[in-house]
Amino acid sequence: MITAVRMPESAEAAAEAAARGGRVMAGGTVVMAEVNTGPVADTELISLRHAGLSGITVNEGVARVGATTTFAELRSGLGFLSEAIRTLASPTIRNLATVGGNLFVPQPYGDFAVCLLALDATVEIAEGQETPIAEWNRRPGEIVTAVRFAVPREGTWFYHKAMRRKLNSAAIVTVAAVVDRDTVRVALGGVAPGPVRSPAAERVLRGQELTRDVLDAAGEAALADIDPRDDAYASAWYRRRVLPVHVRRAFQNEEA
Amino acid sequence: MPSSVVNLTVNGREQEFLARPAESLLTSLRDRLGLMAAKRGCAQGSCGTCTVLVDDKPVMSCLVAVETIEAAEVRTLEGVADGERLDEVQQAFLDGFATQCGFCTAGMIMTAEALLAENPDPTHDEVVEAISGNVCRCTGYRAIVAAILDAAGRRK
Repeated sequence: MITAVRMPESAEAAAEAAARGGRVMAGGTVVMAEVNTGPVADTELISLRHAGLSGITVNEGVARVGATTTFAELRSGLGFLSEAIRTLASPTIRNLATVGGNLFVPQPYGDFAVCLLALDATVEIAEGQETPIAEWNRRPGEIVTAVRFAVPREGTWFYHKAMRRKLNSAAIVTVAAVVDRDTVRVALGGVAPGPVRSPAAERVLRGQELTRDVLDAAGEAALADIDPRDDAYASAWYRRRVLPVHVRRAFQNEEA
Repeated sequence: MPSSVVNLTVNGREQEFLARPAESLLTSLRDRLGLMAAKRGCAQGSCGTCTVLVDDKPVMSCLVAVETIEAAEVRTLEGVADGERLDEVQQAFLDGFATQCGFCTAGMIMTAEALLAENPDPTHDEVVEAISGNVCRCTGYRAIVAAILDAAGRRK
């Protein structure tokens, strides 16, 4: 049972509170659902709502997105992410759910974490240090204050999510990618315990024109990098079966 | 387990009440303030029937720890009608038979109010996206979408 909700008013105070224990909560879309529906191990919540961690700045092509920026705010702030964010939960949830919180939700949720992996983002921790997202593991007591990534050049960002409905459903397969002259990063969601890069697909795509044959080959190659699971949305078998198609569609802007 | 004093402006009226730690805005509205329009459905943000406006934005009130929104402005379905006079969205729902069992209606209408405040002339697809977090288990979506578009027309 929750006996107190802490409301630190700075990142430092939040980190101090988190170091003493308790469950960190940003938008509440995951934590409050747990509080409402079952016993929660922690007795204290640490709300980041007043910690001053929201806001978007873009400086020389690099975006810094504060951890408690909501997806509604991010969608209006960074246009290239608009389509990806449209596939993420519902507008009402996006008024609460935060960029930082998305790093902590279990698959098949957490599509924005997949985007951040494709963007090769860095995660900023309260003490000021930054870690590449691919190498980052949250340690107890740490507070994510922001994420930072280069905004891709026009036409080099690709995103596609397959889900059971056209809106507001968790991922069967999520594909996010940046493919530029000397940069190829493909990240996948829904197909492993966490978001994964696909080095095999990246090797196929590097230096190639994105023709149908190349994309088909990349999709097949991506199967080497996944470890899909069964859940309420799809079976592991189905995810494996459809992944190549959705990798291709990510680059062809086809309708799901 | 000390409760705390929370102040909110609800439907234009200042309210002060005690809330238990991590009490949801939904619980405060229903159990402290007697505002029963917002319904308790899934309690995990999946159904949308508890949707209310917090500082003009539609949110699921079951997911908001009420003490974290001290001094916020909250609007519920009870604050939509002008006395006995229904507003355009309510009237369009009534005229268009857009309520079946009625359990989702309060959330649907609050979501629609927020949509029309921001986008007075939405397309069919924009309405569908706006209510994509609101589940109608009677599956009466067609009438609901039509009523929201109708309400937009009535406001022109």
